Amino acid sequence: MNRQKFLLATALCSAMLCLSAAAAEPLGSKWSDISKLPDFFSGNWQSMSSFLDNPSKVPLTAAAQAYIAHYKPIEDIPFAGPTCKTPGMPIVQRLGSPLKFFYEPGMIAIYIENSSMTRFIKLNGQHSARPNPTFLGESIGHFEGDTLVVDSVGFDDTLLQYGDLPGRGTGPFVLPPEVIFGPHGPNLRMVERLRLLDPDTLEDQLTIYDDTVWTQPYVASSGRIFKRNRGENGWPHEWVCNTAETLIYDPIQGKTIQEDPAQVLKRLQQKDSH
Amino acid sequence: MNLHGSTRLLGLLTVLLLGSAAFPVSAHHSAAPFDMSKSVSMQGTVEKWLWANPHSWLYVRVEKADGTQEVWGFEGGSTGMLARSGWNAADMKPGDKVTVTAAPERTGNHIGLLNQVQLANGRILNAGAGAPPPGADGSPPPGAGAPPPGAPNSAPAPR
Repeated sequence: MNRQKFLLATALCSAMLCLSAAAAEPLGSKWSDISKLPDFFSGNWQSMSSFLDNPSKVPLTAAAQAYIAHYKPIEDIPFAGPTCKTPGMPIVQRLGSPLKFFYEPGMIAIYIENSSMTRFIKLNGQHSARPNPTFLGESIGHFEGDTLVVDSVGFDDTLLQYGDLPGRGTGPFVLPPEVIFGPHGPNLRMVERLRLLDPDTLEDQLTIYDDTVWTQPYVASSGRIFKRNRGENGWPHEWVCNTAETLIYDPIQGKTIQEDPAQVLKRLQQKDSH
Repeated sequence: MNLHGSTRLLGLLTVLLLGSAAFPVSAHHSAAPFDMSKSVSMQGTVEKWLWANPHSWLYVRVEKADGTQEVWGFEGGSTGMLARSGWNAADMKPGDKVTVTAAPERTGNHIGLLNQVQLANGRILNAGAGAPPPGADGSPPPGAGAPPPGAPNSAPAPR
């Protein structure tokens, strides 16, 4: 009898421990969690915000101010380069083509159509001791209620927007010639908070930590807004950079050379004939 | 060819042109070269419809009043965005007659930011450059309920 009681007590304790352990598993650990997560996953998300920021009041470091003093305004997008090089985070997510979210236990992936890149966010994990540099960064996420908080470090040669040129960038959409782009420091960190404002509106609020550029964390102007596409429009598309013949970019002048389209057409037709 | 006033849509296209592309040394550039306050419209014959990323391009041969011809290049959106707006790689082929509306390049080059193409059968393809997000014409997109993107009240407020 005592043995039976002992076994029963052991079983009960084990069950309680299991339940406890299960309860402690954070959201995003199991397939069944998909039904508990906010629906980031149906369709895709079209950016509705300017991909560059309006003027900021976040104070700059002396080094950044010195950089700005010698900054030469550009005419074209500074991350133009051979083979459609990505601008990396955070700009890459804000460009015109939509984002598509996917889930598996322990991971949320975001397909970024405009450069055919996929961002992988490890859920409830830890950063690597020595993350290798990447253009999207090493991203660790967790849920705080209905908000997905993503902490990213380990960035390659991505560009930051230090600010806007005096008197520029105040319109609803900010163009590249209106802003100051600059390099990031070695300890760049980005924290995003993603949440649904309504079933078809996603907000991504970004804070950038880089003490080589700002003396305080940089908070992007009002969260980036994305609208959900459903149905056919919610389907992701392939994106391959394949129009290297149409315009020529001069990195020295920082602008695109507008060739006579008759010459470009001739080149394209010659290519077609081969 | 005729000129007419600017449209809000063209303003949106500026943004979307920038946004939908990604940045080759040779294919992507700022919309700054385009004069968004103007719009040109012209009839011509398709020489090439290049369905590509980060931008599609439409090349059209236009006959002027004096009988001479010139080739215009019109920059459109990425393939995915165009597809979402109802465009297709097979919409146009060399020899097709089209009427094109675009924002012209500021320096007078025969280049424009593609806004609309009317095909010979009367079908109109709208807002090619970058492709408008759903609702860009002010109407809610099918099934999405999005407000007109880029509308003043949906743009980020200056800080």
